[in-house]
Amino acid sequence: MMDAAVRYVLMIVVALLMPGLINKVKALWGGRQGASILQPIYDICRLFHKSQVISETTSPIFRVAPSINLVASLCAGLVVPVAGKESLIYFNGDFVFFAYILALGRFFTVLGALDTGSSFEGMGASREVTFSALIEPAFFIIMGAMAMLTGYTSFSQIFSLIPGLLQNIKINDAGVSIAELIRLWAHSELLVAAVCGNIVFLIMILVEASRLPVDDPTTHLELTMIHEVMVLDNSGIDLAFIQWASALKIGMLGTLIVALILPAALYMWSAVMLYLFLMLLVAITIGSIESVMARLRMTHVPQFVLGASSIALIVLAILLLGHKQ
Amino acid sequence: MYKWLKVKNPAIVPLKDIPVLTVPEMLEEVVDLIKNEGVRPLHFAGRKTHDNRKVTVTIVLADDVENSLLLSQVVFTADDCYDSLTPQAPIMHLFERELYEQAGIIPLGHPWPKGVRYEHDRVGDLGNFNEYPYLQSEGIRMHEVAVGPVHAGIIEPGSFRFLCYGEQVWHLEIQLGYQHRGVEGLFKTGSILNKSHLSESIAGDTVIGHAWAYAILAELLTDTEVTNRVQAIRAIALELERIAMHLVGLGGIAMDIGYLPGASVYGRLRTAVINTMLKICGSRFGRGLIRPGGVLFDIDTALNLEIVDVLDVLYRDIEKINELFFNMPSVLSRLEHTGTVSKETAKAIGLVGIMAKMSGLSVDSRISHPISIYANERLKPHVLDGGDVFARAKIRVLEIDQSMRLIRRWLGTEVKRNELYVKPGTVKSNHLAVSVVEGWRGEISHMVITGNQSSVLQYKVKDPSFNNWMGLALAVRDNGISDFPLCNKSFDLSYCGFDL
Repeated sequence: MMDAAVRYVLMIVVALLMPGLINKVKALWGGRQGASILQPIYDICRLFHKSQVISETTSPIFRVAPSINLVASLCAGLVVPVAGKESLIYFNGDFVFFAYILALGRFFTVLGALDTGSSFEGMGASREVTFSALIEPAFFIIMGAMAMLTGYTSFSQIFSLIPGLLQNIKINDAGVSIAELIRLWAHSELLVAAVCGNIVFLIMILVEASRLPVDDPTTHLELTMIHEVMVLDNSGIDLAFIQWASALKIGMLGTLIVALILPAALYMWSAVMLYLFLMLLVAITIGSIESVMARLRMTHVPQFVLGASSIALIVLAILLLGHKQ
Repeated sequence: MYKWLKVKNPAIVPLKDIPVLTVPEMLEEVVDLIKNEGVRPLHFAGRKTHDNRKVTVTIVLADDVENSLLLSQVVFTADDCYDSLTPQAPIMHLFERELYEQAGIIPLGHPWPKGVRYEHDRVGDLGNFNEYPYLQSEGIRMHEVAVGPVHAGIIEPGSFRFLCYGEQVWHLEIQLGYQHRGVEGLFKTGSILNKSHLSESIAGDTVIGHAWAYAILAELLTDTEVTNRVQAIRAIALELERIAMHLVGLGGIAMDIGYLPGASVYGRLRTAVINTMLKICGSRFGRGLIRPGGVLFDIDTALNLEIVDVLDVLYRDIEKINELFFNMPSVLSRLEHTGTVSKETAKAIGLVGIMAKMSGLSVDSRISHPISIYANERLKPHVLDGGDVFARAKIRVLEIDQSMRLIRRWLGTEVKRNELYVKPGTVKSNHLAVSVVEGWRGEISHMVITGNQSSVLQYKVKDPSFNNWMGLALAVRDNGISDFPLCNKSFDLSYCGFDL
């Protein structure tokens, strides 16, 4: 229990570092020195000391929305297994809890945005809801597939099994024919599930944490933003909560990616070190994606997001076909 | 064509030589010329005459086919009205509104009679600024989005109101006129010869263009001949300004679509170019270089070599980033078919400069109305037919290339020690002078009319933004509202160039 609590705190700390790491990677790609990795943390600390400006047209919902959003994100983190061990709490079907507690936070953010009556924030809310509705099936299909595969319905149990099973697949390197390759893939459903799961989670990070190519967190253009535009009216501690929650989302989804590939049954310290290293890799990947491509046109975002669902469907199809045989 | 005085750019004519049309003649002639012969209006400016009982409207048209400017004037009684030209020639819509605001001559039947700048000394009153009659829309899923007038970025004040259907823009109404600087009025105070600083401040990003257009007028009015060397230095500065601002435009486009390498590399290259301007004249934006009678700074052999070095680096690096930028699928998917302006629309509303060229019109006053040194260059205009953001980015690349070649050629010619500055003499009375300079954004035109004892009766400035803002409003129609910042950046128009 103590162990899990420490890991939970570790995830929160790592999550807070993620935006700074991503920005650093982007700066290096752009040939700049860039701000300190700790800058987003400094910003959050600074915002804690700032006073708030609250529009007179808003209702109490606007005031509680950022807090609910943060608490929802923190709660969601409770069921995420960190560094190869069980999460702080786990129960059957906790991934559904994870998805919908995050949705609750989003629901309140959207309400808060609509509450301001600003036309920009209304547009942002409409986009946010559209895209998150599109990413939801992807998450459930991939998690459903993994539940089918492992026979469990909890993050902790699923993820403790998958990497372990992966290690058992031995690929014979003596001349792999195409037929053999197909056979291998068909039988290593786990490998497919793990790879596709990673892609789906990565796309989820880009959508949920409003990163490129879905949203652009750097240019503050109110007409094109999705997530950032919803929080234009927030200031002070509320804004700090929002930024913290947004960092947490990157951290938690990144942790899920890592959980898919982190070999189970490692010693505590080596597992933690490997976890930190893999999280760094996740940050570098996100930063690099942002650095080498332009943002998608708004009308193309749904295609990109639906792509995640198709990838998840592939996994499901392979599993279903595999079970028939 | 005796009704129009045909002159070459730049021109000075005695006021008494300008033919006077009757009002019906003017209406008929202007529409005919604009409709049939591909002529564009440059100035349509009224001033009070005959002890404020009359209004004399000076009309300057640019004929791109004959490479000449057409001058004429028409006299209205004060507060007179006439049948608006706009229904037949939409290109006149803003000119007529401006005339009403500045001189009080009412265009009857103008489809869109709204204020232009709400100047404090306006004569014709087209309503209050606070009660600006925005277009409105009603219906389920219709909504209006107002941006500005205080923009979230650091750019200037302008109010943009989008009439949207969901995410789709049906129309964008752009309302400017927040600055009330009274530039044209300031030109009338004191001597016309010491207005260099004012001309450099018309639009901070087009210092050389406006300063040159003004300097030509001052030189024409004082019969000052400047040497070829002066012309070459001015032209080099103008092309450097063009390169620098086109790089800003490209960097901005890259920034708006979130393409990081483009934003950083174009930004870096731009710094090198404006630093070169700093070495020439002590200001990165070219302030203090051009004065009536010449230039204040020379480009000596050492500086010559430095500029060549900068151009070499620019030439090498820009090719790489262009290669990357214009071949990246994610970039192309954002740029292509976004914010398209058709050739017909561009012609109808009279786009100028790069915005005309990107939509298929060959409008470049360096070619059709060349001043001095440009007359010897056989420039070919780069014309694209896309009319979309891609074309607007591409035209900048092509023009940067063209400008680099021009600068190299001028730097390469042997430096003859010519006089850099001649003190201008006395200002001629009762003359009209007009100049056209192709700034980076497009055609800049200044016009001055002097009265007795060298006084300035009227000074008129036309920045290319005056023509092109309407293009932006039409470009975003039927586009996603989220593509507006990209369209806006690709047009890159000046607020202060409009809000004189």
